[in-house]
Amino acid sequence: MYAIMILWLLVCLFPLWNLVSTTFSRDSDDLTRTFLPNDFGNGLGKLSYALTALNLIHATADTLGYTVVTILGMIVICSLVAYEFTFYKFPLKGFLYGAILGSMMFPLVLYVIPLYRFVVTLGISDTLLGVAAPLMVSPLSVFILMQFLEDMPLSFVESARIDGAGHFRIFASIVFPLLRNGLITATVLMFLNVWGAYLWPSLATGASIQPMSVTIANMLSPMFYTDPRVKIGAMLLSAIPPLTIYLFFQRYVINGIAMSGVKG
Amino acid sequence: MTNGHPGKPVRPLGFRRYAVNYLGLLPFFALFVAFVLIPLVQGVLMSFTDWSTKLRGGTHFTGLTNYIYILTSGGTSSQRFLKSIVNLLIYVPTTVTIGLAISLILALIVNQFTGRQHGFFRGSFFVPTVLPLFLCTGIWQWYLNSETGLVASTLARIGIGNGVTWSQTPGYAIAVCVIIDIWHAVGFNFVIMSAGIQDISPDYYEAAEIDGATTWQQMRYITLPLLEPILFFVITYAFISALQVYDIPRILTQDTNPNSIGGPNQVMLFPVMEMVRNLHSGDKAGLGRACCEGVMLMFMIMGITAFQFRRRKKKI
Repeated sequence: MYAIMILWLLVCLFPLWNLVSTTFSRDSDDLTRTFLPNDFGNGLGKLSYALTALNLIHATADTLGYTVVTILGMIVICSLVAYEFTFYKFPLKGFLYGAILGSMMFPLVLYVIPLYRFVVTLGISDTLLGVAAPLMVSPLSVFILMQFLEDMPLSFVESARIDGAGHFRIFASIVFPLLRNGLITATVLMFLNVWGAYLWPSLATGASIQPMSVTIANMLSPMFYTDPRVKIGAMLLSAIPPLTIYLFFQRYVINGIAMSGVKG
Repeated sequence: MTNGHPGKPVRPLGFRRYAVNYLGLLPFFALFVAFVLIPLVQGVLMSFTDWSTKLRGGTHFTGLTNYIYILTSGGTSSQRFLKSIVNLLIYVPTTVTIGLAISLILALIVNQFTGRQHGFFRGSFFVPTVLPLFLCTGIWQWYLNSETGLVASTLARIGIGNGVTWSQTPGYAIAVCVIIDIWHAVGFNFVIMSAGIQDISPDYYEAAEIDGATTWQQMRYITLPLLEPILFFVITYAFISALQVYDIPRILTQDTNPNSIGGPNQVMLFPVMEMVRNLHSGDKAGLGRACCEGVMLMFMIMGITAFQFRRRKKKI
């Protein structure tokens, strides 16, 4: 059993180490077996080439831009929906909830063509908002937030109401702060998804916004020659943001994924 | 609403009483209607038209023309789409079966460990899932290159794929997609299954232990049956995700000539790639055809979901 575990551990982690060891190696070394870094100066040169000539700086900034816009939008709209659905009864609630639930059956690829035409018609294609707006509408985030709210006692909301707090006042000053863990979970999952998204950003951007996914994909194209160590270094750089997020928020990521499965 | 105690309406019932609730829902549902519902409905309607980027005279209803063209005409779009479906029929069952088998085996074994070891394995196995798919594709494009890649050169030495350009050779091309998808997706399914296994009450295992059941028997007669609802979710989800395969083959076979996307003889062409090609092709009825292909994918996904619901109902 240990053998299987160690084997899969290698399969998962060795490629990452290999990205590091090959980036920081001499140009003359065999790419198939460079398992230890041996030339740091060369590696730094490749990384700086990737950042400047391949414009990874620009790509990082743009990708971070639309990812942050998506997350901020998602936090506002999805937490409000979760609040209404968890604490209140109102006509059509079941219908509206069912609509969100049902929409999970229809992934973005099914309507990406009309969506793209619509965003172009609105004149917001190739803007941060244009990339982000369709991604904010996240049923998964609504469900994750609702899971966290269900654990919250109804009495908090009721006593606040007796104290005379208004509907949105209760949301902003009581529910939202208590939703911290749920918001972190939804945010990190959203970050990982949007950072890695390729299809939608590649359609919705043009000359001015440069998604990381599209930049790396173009670099990987066999049609243009790129120094293999620059390619590998660029891949290493593009792995840093998601890996950092995962390192710091591992518990939230794993619990969020587990939750989406167990409740689904 | 200020003193609207639950159950004691101070005003006559009516939608106005709930205005604040609807106000809270408004931002989400406004975007939902604009960016999900309308495009979804429009996609279905436009699949029956000659919608195109070039058409200036307006869009006309053409009935089933697009469907008939794509499924039977033998033209470029038709031939490419049918080939992409054939590839899909090979790719989806392969990647789902192998991927889920690996995930399940890992989940069963990892749950034999406890404490820090358990956390370490679980955390490490999830790493490839955290990496963006474009990056996984890049790593394996390198590894599966017969000259510069660790995996392809090692396999070549034992006689597999010697001198083959993996992403351009029939069979190998789909294998590349399967390998990359599995490397990326195993962590996800593993974590869900692992959580499901941990949800099973330890009482069952204690009772089995007392009755002298072996670890293998416990897995076979306790873990697997109790895990069935989760397995079903994971299988359905894996099928639906696999149908949408796009990033991997698109990145591996990109080309400035849109008709070359998917590799020589479309060895690595999948339906979503063909849909996007039609979006940019500028063909007569190009957008209509793309929507039509979207509708066909929609039917496949609805079929899988319906199958899951029926299975679920039977069980209850």
